[in-house]
Amino acid sequence: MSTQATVEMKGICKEFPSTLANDQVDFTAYAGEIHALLGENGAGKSTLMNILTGVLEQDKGEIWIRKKRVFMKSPKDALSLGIGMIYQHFKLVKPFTVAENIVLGMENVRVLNKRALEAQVRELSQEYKIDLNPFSFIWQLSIGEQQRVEILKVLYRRADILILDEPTAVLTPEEVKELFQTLRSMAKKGGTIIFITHKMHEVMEFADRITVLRDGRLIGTMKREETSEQELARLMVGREISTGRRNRENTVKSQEQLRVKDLTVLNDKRVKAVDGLSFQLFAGEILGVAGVSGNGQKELMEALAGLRPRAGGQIFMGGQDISRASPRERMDQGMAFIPEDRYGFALVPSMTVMENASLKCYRDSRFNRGGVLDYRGLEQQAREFIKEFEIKVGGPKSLVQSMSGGNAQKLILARETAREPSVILASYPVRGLDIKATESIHQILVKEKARGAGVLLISEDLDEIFQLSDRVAVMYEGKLMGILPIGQVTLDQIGMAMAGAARLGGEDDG
Amino acid sequence: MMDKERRGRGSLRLIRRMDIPGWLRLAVPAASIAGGFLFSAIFLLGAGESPLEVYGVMLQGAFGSSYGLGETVVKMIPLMLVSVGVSFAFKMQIWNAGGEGQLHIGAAAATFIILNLKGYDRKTTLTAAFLAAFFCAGLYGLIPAVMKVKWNVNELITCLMLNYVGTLLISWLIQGPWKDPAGFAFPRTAKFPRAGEMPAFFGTRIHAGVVMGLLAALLLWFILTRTRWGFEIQLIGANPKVAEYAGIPVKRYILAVMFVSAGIAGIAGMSEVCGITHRLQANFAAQVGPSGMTIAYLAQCHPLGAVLVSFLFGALLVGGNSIQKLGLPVSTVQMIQGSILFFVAAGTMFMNYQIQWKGGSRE
Ligand SMILES: Nc1ncnc2c1ncn2[C@@H]1O[C@H](COP(=O)(O)OP(=O)(O)O)[C@@H](O)[C@H]1O
Ligand SMILES: [Mg+2]
Repeated sequence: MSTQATVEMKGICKEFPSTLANDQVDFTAYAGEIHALLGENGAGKSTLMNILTGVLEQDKGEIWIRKKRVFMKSPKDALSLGIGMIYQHFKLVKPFTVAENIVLGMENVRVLNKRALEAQVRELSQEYKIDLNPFSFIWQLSIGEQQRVEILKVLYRRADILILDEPTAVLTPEEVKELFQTLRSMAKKGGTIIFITHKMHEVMEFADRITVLRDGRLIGTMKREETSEQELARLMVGREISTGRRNRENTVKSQEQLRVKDLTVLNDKRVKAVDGLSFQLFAGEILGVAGVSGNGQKELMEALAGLRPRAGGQIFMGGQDISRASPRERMDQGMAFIPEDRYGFALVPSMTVMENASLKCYRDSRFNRGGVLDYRGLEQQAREFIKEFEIKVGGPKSLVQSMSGGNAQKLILARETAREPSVILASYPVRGLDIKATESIHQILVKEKARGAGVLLISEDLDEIFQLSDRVAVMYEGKLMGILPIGQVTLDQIGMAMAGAARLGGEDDG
Repeated sequence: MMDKERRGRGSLRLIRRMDIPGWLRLAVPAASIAGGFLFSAIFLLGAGESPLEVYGVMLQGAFGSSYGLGETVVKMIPLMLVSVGVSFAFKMQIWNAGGEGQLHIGAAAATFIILNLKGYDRKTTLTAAFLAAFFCAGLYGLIPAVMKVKWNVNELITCLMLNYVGTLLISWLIQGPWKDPAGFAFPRTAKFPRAGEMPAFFGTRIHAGVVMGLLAALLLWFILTRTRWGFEIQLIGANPKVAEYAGIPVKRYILAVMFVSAGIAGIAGMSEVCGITHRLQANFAAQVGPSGMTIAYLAQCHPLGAVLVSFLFGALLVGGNSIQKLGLPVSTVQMIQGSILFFVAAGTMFMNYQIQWKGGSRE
């Protein structure tokens, strides 16, 4: 690694009407390194990088690029200095091809020489091992491929300082690996790579140096070899956070809460997504189902909740056959569902906290007199949720769209656990959340299982699986690759099963 | 949600309001109407007319006498019933564009009862006509609803097609089987017996339809804002997926809401034939269907708002008629009506959005 500083930001301050987003932040990045900018949601990471790319202007502080003081007024200025940014939300034109998107907006391109362009794009993609066909249309590409287009776009403009805002949030684990291979090869050629994240294991795996921000302030910059996940978590959150096991008590009982027998479910394309799957879920346990998402998890959970038709098999709750029961009947029998799509399925962002909090209980006799709703009671209940679950929001009348992801998820959990369910279906409950919010959500789930609920936890995050599960299963191509108690399974075994290479062993399950 | 990129400085931006303050709900339409009058004034001046005089005559015509006010209310009644009815479905994002057809079916059902149910008193006859109109129109509205629920057919298209079926069916009835034998060549049914007429009030032509409309609006408003069914309807309107997740039988709701929505539009037909024409005849409710949809839109599907906007429509119609008597061409009258509606429609945008220079705050 060279020691030439390409980016130096000194004493950066940026104030928004309600918050001091950056407070005297110093930041330095070198040529040839992958530098992680780590912090909880709202720590000021995007703000700092938006200043570096000319999207925002700092109130105070200096920016030096390659030892020269610079004043940028727009992202164009930044790009002319070789600074390119890959945003969280891509800015591609869907009906255009990869090559067209790459030259789009470049001022000196008047006539499109398709041949030359194709050759250039191919050359670039080979150089950086980015696998892309220049003539595919954007709409044909997966999210991961679209991100590669964004990267090529920036490379094509000869940027050698590349900033990525939470680039892995939308990627599968496989795509994450490929992304960092590309980034590494850019760094090797002398580029400076800065990526924003709040996931520690990514930092430990891929970064050379790490800068931690908290509440708008710089907490420190360190080398990867000189720190640990434990320390980073503490720096990010400002207090000790356990990264170890969160489900310590064995509360598993023999009472069966849910039994699934030979369940088969089709996906939206009418292809088998869940394929003759069987398992049991007991009171007081968390059954963690690991697996790369897209292996039928979504269809399984929706079928259990009654929101997707079964193609075959049976579902029992508390010993009773509920295969034909409506979603409402399952709810009333004590089933709670935390779906993966928070805003399109579990919440209505344009409605109030109170209305969203009432989604599952407004029919209860205590809120309902001959069909007339007791809005005061519902508001009171929402207020209690806010207090008990420490949800940060203006009040019961605030709109859900004004909440952060973590607080929105807490609201969902408050609502779903309020009726003391016997079965909790939880799909990726902490996806996209920061450490603090993750910890609270995990505590809620553990409390619920201790109360006697059976929790079916779907996750692709193995840390989460190991922190929470009493038993572990792996889902692969619509089937379970075996179920084992947490003490009897290793990380490698799970990894193999997730790739479909070997079964976990343990209970047999069709 | 926190990371929407903020680019492009110094541009005007529309920002959706989080919640709309109550005063704005009244101030904006009032200002919009005034704006429409001001705008039209430019053209009236250009045409050599005095805007003050024209508007004076217009106001005088619509509100200045008990006759004028009465006519305004008379015109408002069917608009109110249809717009209240369709806005109920609109609330759930079900596009009941079939008010016109449902109104005609309601009128035909009422007519059939009144012409065939002889020898009963007025109360019985009108109650029977009312129920027949509501149920037949409701069933007619179920056709697109069933097609939507069963085969996912777009209700907007089926509703529009059923409008033709409904109106043409009535044309055929009044020219064929139901034609008044003593009516010479006129395409209309025989006059209703007195038991089939709704009495008029206050020496005007205002009839009981106004009560039906107001009651329907109040009832729906109450249901929507106070009851669990209203909560469920709003939830379905906001996102049917979330509604299903909450355990609401969405398909059943589509059927039920379309039935009620169409039934109320059917009452508009019944109240016109029983209250005004006292027979079924051609063009007894011209333009009521399309105007009803416009009103529902302008009122943002709020039942009480639909009552107010219907009143405005009634006044524009009656006031417009009276300025025609000044010798103004019809197109000028329509221009005034049109620009007022245009301003009201534009005003709803100001109600829903805040205009901002791109600055600090994001919400
Ligand atoms: N345009 C803006 N207007 C007002 N507040 C903002 C704006 N952008 C960010 N903030 C606030 O600044 C703080 C830091 O935000 P951000 O830089 O996006 O954090 P991060 O990317 O680390 O999650 C947050 O409290 C956020 O609400
Ligand atoms: Mg951010």
